Amino acid sequence: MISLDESTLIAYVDGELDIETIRMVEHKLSEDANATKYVEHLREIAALSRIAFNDTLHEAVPQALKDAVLKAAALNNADAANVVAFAPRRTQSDWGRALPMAAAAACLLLGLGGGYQYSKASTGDALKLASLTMQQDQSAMDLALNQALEVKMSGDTQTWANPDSHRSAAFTPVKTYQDKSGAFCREYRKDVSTNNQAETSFGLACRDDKGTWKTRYLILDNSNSQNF
Amino acid sequence: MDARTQQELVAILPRLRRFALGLTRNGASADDLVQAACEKAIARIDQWEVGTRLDSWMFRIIQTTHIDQIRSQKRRDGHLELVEGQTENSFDGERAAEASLTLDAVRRAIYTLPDDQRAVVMLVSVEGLSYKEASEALEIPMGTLTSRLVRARTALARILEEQTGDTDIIKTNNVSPLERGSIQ
Repeated sequence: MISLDESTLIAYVDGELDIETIRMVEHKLSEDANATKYVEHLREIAALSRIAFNDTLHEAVPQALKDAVLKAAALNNADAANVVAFAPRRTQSDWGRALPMAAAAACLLLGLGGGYQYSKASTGDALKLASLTMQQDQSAMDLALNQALEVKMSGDTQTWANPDSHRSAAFTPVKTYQDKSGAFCREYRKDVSTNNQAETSFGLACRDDKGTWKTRYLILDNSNSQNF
Repeated sequence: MDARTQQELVAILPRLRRFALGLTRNGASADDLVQAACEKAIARIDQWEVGTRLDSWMFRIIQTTHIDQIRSQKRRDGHLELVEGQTENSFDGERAAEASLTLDAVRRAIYTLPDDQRAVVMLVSVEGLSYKEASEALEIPMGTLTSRLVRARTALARILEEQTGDTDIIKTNNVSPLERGSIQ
């Protein structure tokens, strides 16, 4: 049915192939509608799998479990040092409550799985192509940001890159809290690099009930941008 | 265990619970499993190489603890066969046909996979570990990892096939053609 074997396509969807092989696979895919359809199906499942268990990730860790772990650590330390240790209590500041994750599937779906994108345009208006690439990058970065805000713990970074346009970005959620209406909001840091020109900004985004993170404000950090 | 490692362990508990849920398919068992694995890890913290990833090490301990638990459960139940290669299929096709491709359907499909394949899917597809990281975490050769992953993914693709016959999920969620085009 498909000329590309399944393990290659799965590795392709997982972003486990090198650039050369990716280009080869994409070339073959362009001539094979069945394989392309299969890849889309795999991508869809991969994207949904990535977030299928996120209810657990976002709900509060049961206090009993946390206590048990801290107690085990304290006992172990006491044994080691032969002194009485106090288990430090830490409050988890990351995610408070379970979120209705199902709604988040749609917007995340597109941001996952692929890794790279390529403009399929052959020749022609270079300016138009550049502008299209820029728009595509912008959409892809929006999706990567949404993914970062949805699944990354504070302090963890979500990266994105398009080797063709020499553009890359890193999104790091910094802080999480709930606004007055109970919606989750996260402060984040965004580092975008285009042709080695770096730009850092800080934003605040809040999650709507559809699972989309809307940026409420974004501040460009001029101290870090390189304008020579 | 030093304070920093302890803090890191507590910080990764949500991800450990998620992995354990994938293995046990049951929230209460998942928390028991995480607790047992954490206690084990703390008791032998000197075996953890400082500088390597604590999460990968914990995933491994959770996985081996889970296998031990299944084995002793099976002994209690009088079954002595190993979990490896078990291919029970409890997927409810009728129920699935009603649902569109939802997260619930994906979860249930993952739950039908044999234990060894499910562990791989949980690490690669859910946790987002690279093949290399996952093979190191599970202490299995790369070839074993990829073959389990391919078997699991093709099984999932088959199970979820009817439900993704068309790409409704993309169309109905106000995504512009441009955005859609950008991942292709």
